[in-house]
Amino acid sequence: MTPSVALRPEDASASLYEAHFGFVWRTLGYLGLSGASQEDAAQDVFVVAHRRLGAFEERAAVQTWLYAIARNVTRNYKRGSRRRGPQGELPDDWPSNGPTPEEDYQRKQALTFVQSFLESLDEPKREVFLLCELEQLPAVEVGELLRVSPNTVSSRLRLARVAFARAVEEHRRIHVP
Amino acid sequence: MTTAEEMLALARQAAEPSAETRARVAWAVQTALLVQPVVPAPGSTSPSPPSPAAPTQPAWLATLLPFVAVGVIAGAVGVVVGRTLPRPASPDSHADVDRLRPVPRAPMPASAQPPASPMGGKAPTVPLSPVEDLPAAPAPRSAARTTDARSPDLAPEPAPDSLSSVVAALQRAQAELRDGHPLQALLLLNELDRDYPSTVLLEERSAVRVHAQCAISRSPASLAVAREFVRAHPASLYTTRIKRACALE
Repeated sequence: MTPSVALRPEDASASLYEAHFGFVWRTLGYLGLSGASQEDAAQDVFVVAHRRLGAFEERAAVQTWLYAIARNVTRNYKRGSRRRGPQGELPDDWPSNGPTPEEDYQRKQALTFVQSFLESLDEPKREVFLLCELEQLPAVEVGELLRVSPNTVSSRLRLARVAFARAVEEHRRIHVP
Repeated sequence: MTTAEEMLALARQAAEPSAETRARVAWAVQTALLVQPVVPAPGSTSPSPPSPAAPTQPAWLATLLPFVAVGVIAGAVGVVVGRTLPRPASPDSHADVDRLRPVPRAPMPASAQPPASPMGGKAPTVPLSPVEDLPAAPAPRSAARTTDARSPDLAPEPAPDSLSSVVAALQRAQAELRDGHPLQALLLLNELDRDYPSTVLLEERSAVRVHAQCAISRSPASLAVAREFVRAHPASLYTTRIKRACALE
């Protein structure tokens, strides 16, 4: 996990992509974007972030700030206000020295499951589960983003975890004879 | 059997971006911040200001571009960009642009080579469409005539050396476009507009810019600029080519 860092004005833009591309990319994926839409959305997030750096409040955590941008960009994509041109969806990344096809399949199935689960949650729990559970950000930072207390974050996280455990159990019951 | 923790771990792994993705998006971000649509209205006496959304100092991208350089841009791209464009010392100094020129990708080990097919034609985020030749930039004499006819009172006769510099820069941009380097063409045009913010060859500058933008990506923004060019210059020598390059018909 990439730790949160405070942005310094002189290197804010420069470090942004380097330090946080992975976080932005994963967030967009968890929120349901994939392929070309995910790439376009990631591009939009960093272009927007670059343009808004002047308004960035240093007291805020960078990742929660980027999350807020990514969340809004994702909403726009899901509303269909931004559609990719005639290129269509990109194929998956090249096979590499990474996982075997079977491992890759399992991972993608798991990601699809998590995406569906997040979709099923109400937004407060979805944000807490994504940021605290998947990205393992501190409850204090997440609370600042959501403007709620750390206790509220913990409470939502507890409920979301219970729901996730149930969903996994249900998934196993259906898919395993 | 998959537990909740295992499911989360697998999902986290699936959600990680590849080095190629990281590089491809870096390239796209760089392009988005460099492209500054400039399509002057007919009769305008100075280049349009850069779009408010377009930054004028993308120097921070110099530190972003290593992602492009180290990324494996497979298949159709086959080239990477190493550096972005600091302000040149003089209009004729294009050393920085030369550094920006795509360089052949270092050979990958055989084990890392992508398969030839069917993924061999994989499109990058910023696809490069075929670029046809634009008409050659007009000679200085005819260029001056064009400018004078457009705005006789507000467009003083450019100094011959300025005009020849503009023509030379336009020809370089056209050559980059023709050689499949539309981003380099845009960078040269940005330099040109900055160093020679006059009315000289505005239509030609716009035509090359629009063509380059469509060559990089037929995005909604590129297409809007192309349509605006066609609307503003219905009788232009470049209109047919631009319509074809941007697939407007």
